[in-house]
Amino acid sequence: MVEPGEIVCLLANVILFLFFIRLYKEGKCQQMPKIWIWGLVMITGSNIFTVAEGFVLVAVFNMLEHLFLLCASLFFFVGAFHMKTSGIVK
Amino acid sequence: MIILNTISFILFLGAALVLVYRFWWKNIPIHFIIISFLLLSFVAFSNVLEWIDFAVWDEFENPVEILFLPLFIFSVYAFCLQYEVNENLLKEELIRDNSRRLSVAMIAAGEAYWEWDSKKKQIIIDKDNCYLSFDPESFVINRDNYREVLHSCSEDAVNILFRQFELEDKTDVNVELLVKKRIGGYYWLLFKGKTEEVKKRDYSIISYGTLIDISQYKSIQEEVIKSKVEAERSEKLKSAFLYNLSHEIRTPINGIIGFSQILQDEDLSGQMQKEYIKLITNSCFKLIAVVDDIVEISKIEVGDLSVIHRIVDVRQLIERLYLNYDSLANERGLEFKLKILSQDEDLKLFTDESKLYRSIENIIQNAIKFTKQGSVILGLDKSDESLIIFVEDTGIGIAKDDLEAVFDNFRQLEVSFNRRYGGSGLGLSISKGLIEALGGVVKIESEEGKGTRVSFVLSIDGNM
Repeated sequence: MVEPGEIVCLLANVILFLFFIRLYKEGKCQQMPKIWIWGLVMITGSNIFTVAEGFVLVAVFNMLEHLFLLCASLFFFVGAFHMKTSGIVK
Repeated sequence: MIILNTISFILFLGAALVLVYRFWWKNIPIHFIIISFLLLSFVAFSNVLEWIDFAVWDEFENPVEILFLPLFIFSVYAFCLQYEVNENLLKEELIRDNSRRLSVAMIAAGEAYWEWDSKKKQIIIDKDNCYLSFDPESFVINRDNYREVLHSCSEDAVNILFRQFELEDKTDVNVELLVKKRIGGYYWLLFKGKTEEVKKRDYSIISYGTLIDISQYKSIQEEVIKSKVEAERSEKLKSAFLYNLSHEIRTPINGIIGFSQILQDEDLSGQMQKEYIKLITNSCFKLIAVVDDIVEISKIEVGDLSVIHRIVDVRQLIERLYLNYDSLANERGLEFKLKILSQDEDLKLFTDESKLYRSIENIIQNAIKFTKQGSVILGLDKSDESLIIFVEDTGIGIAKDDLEAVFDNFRQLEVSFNRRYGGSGLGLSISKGLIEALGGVVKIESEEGKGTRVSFVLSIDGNM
């Protein structure tokens, strides 16, 4: 059974993600590592599977939800290393 | 699932720690780091809690996820944006600081910035970054206006510069141009710069640099060159002078030595002895005259002349000179005339008689020496404010180009002249120095082959 909260969460996730992509394309946060975008894609994907799980109870969806989350965590972890630190000493 | 969630937990937590570690000392505000850390940690913990069968948590799991996952994405965005803003602020601060330092340095150096505009084919001096003492006539120099902006002597240089820019030659720019000032007059500007490739939308080659006022340096340079030329000329003149002088000293000394040796001969008659002693005495006078000349010119050069003023009757002085040199002129077959043009009886000056006498005497001696035939005229005239003493001759004259140089110390127009005519060649220099010390002016007019007129103008008011 899908919960309304999960759908709201997914929608919020997608809207923020798209907004974030738009800002990135406009060059407003160029310092962010690109791999974080993939991390966000993965989190959104994970959310999609959470919602899908509520509609159709398939074991693979649950698996994918956690797998996507794992990928997201991996991307964020790698991105944290690749994020440019400022060369300017304050 | 447990394994997957555990790994996710570790990685999210790791990412949070890495962020904190890397940016803790940087310019990210601390609350952004803390929020990011908390959110990443929470996502991590929510994964862990998901697989713990914990009844209480089940009730909260979804609402928490609903709340925190969008917040997590938003915090990532906010973190990046804030980081970007801080970076840009720091860069702007750095640029402003560099710009300020550059401006201060340019103000201190009195420099200006210039750039070649490859589209309009013109040199543009940046008005906002122009710290020269004076503004140039125009801040733009191109092929149409360079004749108005630059002095004609810089036209070639600026044309070469234009060609260099047009051909996109990457040779460093180092050109001195004489540029017109806005307030009038010219000043030397040194254009230094370089040409390099840049990635710009409308053009790829840019030439730029600074310019500085080097007028002072140029005037010093000109002075140095002038002094060098003068020193070299003096060196040559002194060599020539020494060459002449050695002859002038050697001749009487030879006479003195020669006749002294002859006098040792006991068989010489009394008459012959007297004759030789007279010759020795004449040689001594000649020698002392040369030494006197040198001493006199040295005093004039050092400015150590002592002038004793008293009222001098110039008419009498001229007449005395005429009488003294009349016989010498006649001996040379010359006609020596005295011309007193002024009817005024009172031709007096408050001056140093001996120095005035010496000055005129030198000129008369020169006139007689350099005149083969014709006449020498010694004259005196009076204008409203001054007395004019002049000596005219019909001698060899002086070429127009050499007229200014005849009064130079040690100046010999031709070394061979002196050998032909004798003398140290200091006579004119001494006369000029003495007359100037007496407050007068020496004028010379001459035509080669026709004769010379030397006149002394002495102010009556200044002297009396």
